[in-house]
Amino acid sequence: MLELEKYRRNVYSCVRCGICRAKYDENVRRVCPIREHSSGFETHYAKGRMAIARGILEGELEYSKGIADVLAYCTTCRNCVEACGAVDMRTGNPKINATAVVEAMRADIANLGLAPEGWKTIHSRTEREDIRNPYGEPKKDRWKWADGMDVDFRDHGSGLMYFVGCTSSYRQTVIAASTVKILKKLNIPFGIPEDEWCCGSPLLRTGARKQVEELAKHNLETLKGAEKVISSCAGCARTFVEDYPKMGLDVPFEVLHISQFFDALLREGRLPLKKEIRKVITYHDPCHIGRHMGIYDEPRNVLRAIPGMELREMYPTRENAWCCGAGGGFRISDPKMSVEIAADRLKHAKEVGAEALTCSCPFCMRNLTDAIKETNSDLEFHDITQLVLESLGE
Amino acid sequence: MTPTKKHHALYEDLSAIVGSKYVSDDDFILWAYAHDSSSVAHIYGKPQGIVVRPGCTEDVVEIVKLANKTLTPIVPRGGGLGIGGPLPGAPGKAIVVDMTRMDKIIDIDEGNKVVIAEAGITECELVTRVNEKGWDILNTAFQPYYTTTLGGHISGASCGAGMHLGRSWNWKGVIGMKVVLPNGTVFETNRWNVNQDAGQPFRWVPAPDFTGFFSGTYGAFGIITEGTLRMFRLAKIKDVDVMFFDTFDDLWHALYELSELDPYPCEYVFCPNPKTSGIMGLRENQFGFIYGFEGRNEEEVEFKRKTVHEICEKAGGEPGTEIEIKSCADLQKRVFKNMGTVASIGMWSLLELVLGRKDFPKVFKEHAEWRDKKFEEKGIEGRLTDFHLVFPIDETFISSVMLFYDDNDLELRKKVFELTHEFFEYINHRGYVSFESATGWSLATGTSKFFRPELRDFLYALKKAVDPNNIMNPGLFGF
Repeated sequence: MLELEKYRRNVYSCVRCGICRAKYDENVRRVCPIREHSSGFETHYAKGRMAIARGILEGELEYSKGIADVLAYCTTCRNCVEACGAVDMRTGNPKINATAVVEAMRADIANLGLAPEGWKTIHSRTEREDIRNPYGEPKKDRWKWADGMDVDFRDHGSGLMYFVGCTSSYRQTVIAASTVKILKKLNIPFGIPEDEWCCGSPLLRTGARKQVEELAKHNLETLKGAEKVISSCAGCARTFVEDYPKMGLDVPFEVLHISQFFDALLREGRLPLKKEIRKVITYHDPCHIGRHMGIYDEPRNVLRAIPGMELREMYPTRENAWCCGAGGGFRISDPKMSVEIAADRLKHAKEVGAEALTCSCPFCMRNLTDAIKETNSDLEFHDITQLVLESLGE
Repeated sequence: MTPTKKHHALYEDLSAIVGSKYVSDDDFILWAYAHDSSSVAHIYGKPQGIVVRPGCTEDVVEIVKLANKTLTPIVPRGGGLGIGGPLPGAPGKAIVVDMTRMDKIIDIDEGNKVVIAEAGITECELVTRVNEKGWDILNTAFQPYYTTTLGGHISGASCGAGMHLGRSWNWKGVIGMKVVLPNGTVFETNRWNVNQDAGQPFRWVPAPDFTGFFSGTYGAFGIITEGTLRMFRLAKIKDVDVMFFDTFDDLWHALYELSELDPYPCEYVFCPNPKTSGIMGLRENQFGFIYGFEGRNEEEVEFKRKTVHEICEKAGGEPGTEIEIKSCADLQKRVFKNMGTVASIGMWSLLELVLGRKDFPKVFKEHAEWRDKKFEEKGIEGRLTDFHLVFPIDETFISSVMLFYDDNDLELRKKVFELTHEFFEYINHRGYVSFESATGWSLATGTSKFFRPELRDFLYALKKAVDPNNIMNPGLFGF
């Protein structure tokens, strides 16, 4: 059976009104980053994708390489879901999740062997016992960033574990290092799961659903005994909180994104942000913790608590925030366009007079810093962990 | 070796005009373009031959010249929001001209109270951007109409002939437009003087009203690439109120009396029948009369509210309670800003009649009886949600029945489709006008069959003169 079958009601609820392209009001200017940067055909945003889905369900269309290529052009940012006003009038819940439909079609495509080559590569890398990450880096190098940091791979009986994630382990390592330094500075005992594998997020977004169960089970086993798991990656946090339970797996511990963890410490008076950081800063909402998990206030609470820092809101923001362009496997499909989308965000930041851009996701950091380089922008970028660490006096 | 894909005969030529990025003949892309927002899209939507997204009027000129040279039909596409069925075109051959890349505002001319924009801009963007400058335009506040393009709005191919419920039919707010005629000539309907820099754009030029002519020709006489719309000062205060009536006749008397007023005091009015009123969380045993009004200050708004109350109460209406008014204010936000919430029940079909004032009560009742009988005959009562609303627009009144149903229920879908067909037959035989029958497939194969011979002859003669090769939207009006 096609994965798409599970979303039949979603597909048939779409009345093709096009608000997923055209919503424009005081909070929203454009909805779909792909539509705005690509050829812009109707198939390059939710409405046309839903038409394709319906064609497939009705036997009028068949999955093809062409359809696979078009479906690869989606960052799964869910801005179209946010723009779509369709709710079930009986429950008040959103009725159409075009992102879920795209992900289901991607799963069908992967099952049919039609996935784009770049995706196949990350699928096979993550499957390899000596790698287990989408970057193809050796598993033995996963903790290189922690050299000299005296990191323990046990939880010291505190029940707190830090799930680092592949991007912070191999690419944006400053996030992992900053997180560890913060925890140590605050004297919070914690451990890191030594045999951490990819959480499965890139696979779920790119159709390799079948592979994820093995990864998920392994990670849950590795974290056995933990009471609380923190993640400094928006993608990992979403996968643990949203996807594992949907797969029928029991997640027997609380999972917090690092911004939620900091916010809780702040409220308990355990995050002494004392050192001034004199900067006008703006916060970019990562799609995975924003629209996917509804985490908007926590990172802002933390940033506002940093003395001397002025937080300004970009436009669009929060529920309507523009995607950084990295998500959903899109960066692999079209790195150039992915960075062009990130460059939009730099423009938004400059428009409100920000000197620096901040975020709480290593994927976003990667794309936004690439865009800064690519456009020779004078904007600074600091992950929220870097700012917290600095304000703690490190 | 991978076999080379066989492209549409004009693929290279069109790519040379707009760039290959904006040209596609992929089957699944054409499939998406074969569907509009209508309930019959999956039956009448046939993929055309190739789709192209021009970026400026000059691109459109070149596309039209190429189409003429090669005798390839053209189907213009705006927001794809037609509810009367997809345009027939020439399946497998025609060029779909997707206008949505042309979405810039050219000028918000506050001195002359006009806004000039490219045809592909959406109503919601246009309205928001003129609102930000303190102005408003005649627009259809509903979604999904709200996502129609300016070109669709003017040409009517996507319900754009629509109505601003308070200020009348939208096309009255159209000052002029730039049209690429079928021979590639660029024609501006509101500029008459040989001096291109002369004066402001007027609709009322010393010649026949060609702005009116192109409003509602659905692309059969040319492709609209720019539109000029009249702007009004944006009201500072907006409010909503509700009254209730025991009988349709009482409601009708109030509506009729109100429609005599000039200026009309309401910005919008819609009157749910008792069943629909119940669905909306209002009174289940009375006709509702929900209206919005606006003004520059409290006195003006209060005067309008008082005027409406007096007329309604004289006709037997009673005011809504504070809770009901609040509910309508919320409803207004949901319905007018977010029609998707209603449509999300499922696919929808519209059985809508536009009628003159005098005959309205008689036809309204006939229409309601006809609908109830059909529901019973087809055994679909209770399997779909029907909203029945009445509202006055200018010199006309509208009776609107929206059917929401589960499109995945194939049997029900078939019955709604049959009902839609029977509805077209019903209205066309009687000579009424249906809003949705004046678009796409229904106009091509339905309503135009009932045109008087002299209307058809005149229209056909014009078409032959302007578009001898019949490349612009063939099949429309029966061409």
